[in-house]
Amino acid sequence: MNLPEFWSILTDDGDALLRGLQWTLALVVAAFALAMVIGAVICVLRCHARPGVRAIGTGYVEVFRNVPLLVLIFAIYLGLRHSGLAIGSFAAAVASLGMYSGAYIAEALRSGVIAVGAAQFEAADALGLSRSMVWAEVVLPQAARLVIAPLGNLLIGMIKNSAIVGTSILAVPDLMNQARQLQSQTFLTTETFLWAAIGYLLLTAVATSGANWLSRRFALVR
Amino acid sequence: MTVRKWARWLPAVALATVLIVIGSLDSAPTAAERVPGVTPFPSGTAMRAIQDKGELVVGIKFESPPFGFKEPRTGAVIGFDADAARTIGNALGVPVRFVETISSNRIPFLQSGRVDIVFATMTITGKRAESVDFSDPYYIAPGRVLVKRDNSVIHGPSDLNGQRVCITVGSSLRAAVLEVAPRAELREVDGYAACSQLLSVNAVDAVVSEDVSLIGLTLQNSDFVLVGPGFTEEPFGAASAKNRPGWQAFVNETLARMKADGSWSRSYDRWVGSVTGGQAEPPTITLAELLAMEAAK
Repeated sequence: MNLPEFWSILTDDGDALLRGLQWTLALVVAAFALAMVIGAVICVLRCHARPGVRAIGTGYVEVFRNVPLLVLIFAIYLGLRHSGLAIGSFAAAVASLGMYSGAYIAEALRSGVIAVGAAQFEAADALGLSRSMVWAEVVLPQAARLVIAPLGNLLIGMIKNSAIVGTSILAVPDLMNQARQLQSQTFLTTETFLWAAIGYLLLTAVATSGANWLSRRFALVR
Repeated sequence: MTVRKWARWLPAVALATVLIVIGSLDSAPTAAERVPGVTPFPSGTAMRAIQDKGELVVGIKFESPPFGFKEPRTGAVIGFDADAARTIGNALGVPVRFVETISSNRIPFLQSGRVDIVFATMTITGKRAESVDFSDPYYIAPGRVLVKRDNSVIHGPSDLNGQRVCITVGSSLRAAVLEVAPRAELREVDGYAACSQLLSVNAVDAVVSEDVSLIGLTLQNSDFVLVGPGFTEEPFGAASAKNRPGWQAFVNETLARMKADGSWSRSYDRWVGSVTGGQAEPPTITLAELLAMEAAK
């Protein structure tokens, strides 16, 4: 590990790494938004009265929790393109990350829903709220507030998983991809990947402090 | 539930077993090949160190026909690079063990000592020569462009501006493409198998590589076609870590013998000529001349 060369990376190629960091940020923001939506929908399906509907939710969770992210990326990107749908690489990356984490978020929300308890469902029902209002206005908001810490963990997990996207065939120019290109041109292996690690640490640190602030502000303690 | 006293050790034993099994795995080393003994080299030389070690560890591509790839039935590594590597191993009298390398980890593997020498379609450049020692060129490959048959836009390297071009991470062709087409959109992936996949689903418009690999791809997929002339000359060299006493001279002598005694031509005909239908003479330019030419540009 060469210290002068380590710092020279910042001056010579800092802008490329910064662009990579911006791409990673865009990827994670889009994918996490998608994952939250998918998670909420699947959570509702999992807790439905009808067994047939529950099975759909369970099926989704089983599939997307057990298929490795890289396999998912290949299946979505190459599979859809082979079938004729010209999905772009960024869209495929967001879809893969979002669908993958969506399964985990669904499970986290479901544990929150269980903690909210049947009493809230019955009370909201008794007040005459429709099913969708019960979920959207009463149950899910409380459930989400109960599981802020696990959701924060899943966000951090997603930030790290996004590095897989950068090394896959998707060739999205995110932080990991930029670091690999840089390493292959400068041969400063340790130094380049140390900067990549610092970049990811920055993102996860921001995510962690964000989750902590949300927790202090909004968390329900039972 | 009562637990037998000895059973309390089970979790620790199970964990230790798993860790030992995982630790002893390596990335699919190929079976070493035996060769009759050869006179030992003087002690203190890098050649003697390898003879004492008992094997020559060679970094080679596993997915780049016809230079380094796996024979489908036996899984043995074969190709032009493999032949050259075995020549070095025979000169030392030790078996060769192949380790898979891709363009982006060739130099790190040498620097970390994971492999002794790299025969992996590696182009000699002045920049790389700062980090590793190259042999004299053992093959000169023209870089060419591969597109789908129905592509009406790209007819040659100069049409690559604004097009999505697939190469491998760490390939010397990156600079070559940007020189003829500065506005080409490069997609860098791990290997040409991935490039081939991306081209077949129209995720990229063209693949750039040296001609033999691309011809191999057209033989596998009739949808692909080569367009335009060769636009760059890629001299392949065998790379080794720096500061190994006597090693560079030994490798160059062995490769020179391979070119002189007909085995180079035999390998060429078998791996390249059979695909391109062409013939060639072994390259005669030395490393020093090549680097001087590049520096003068």
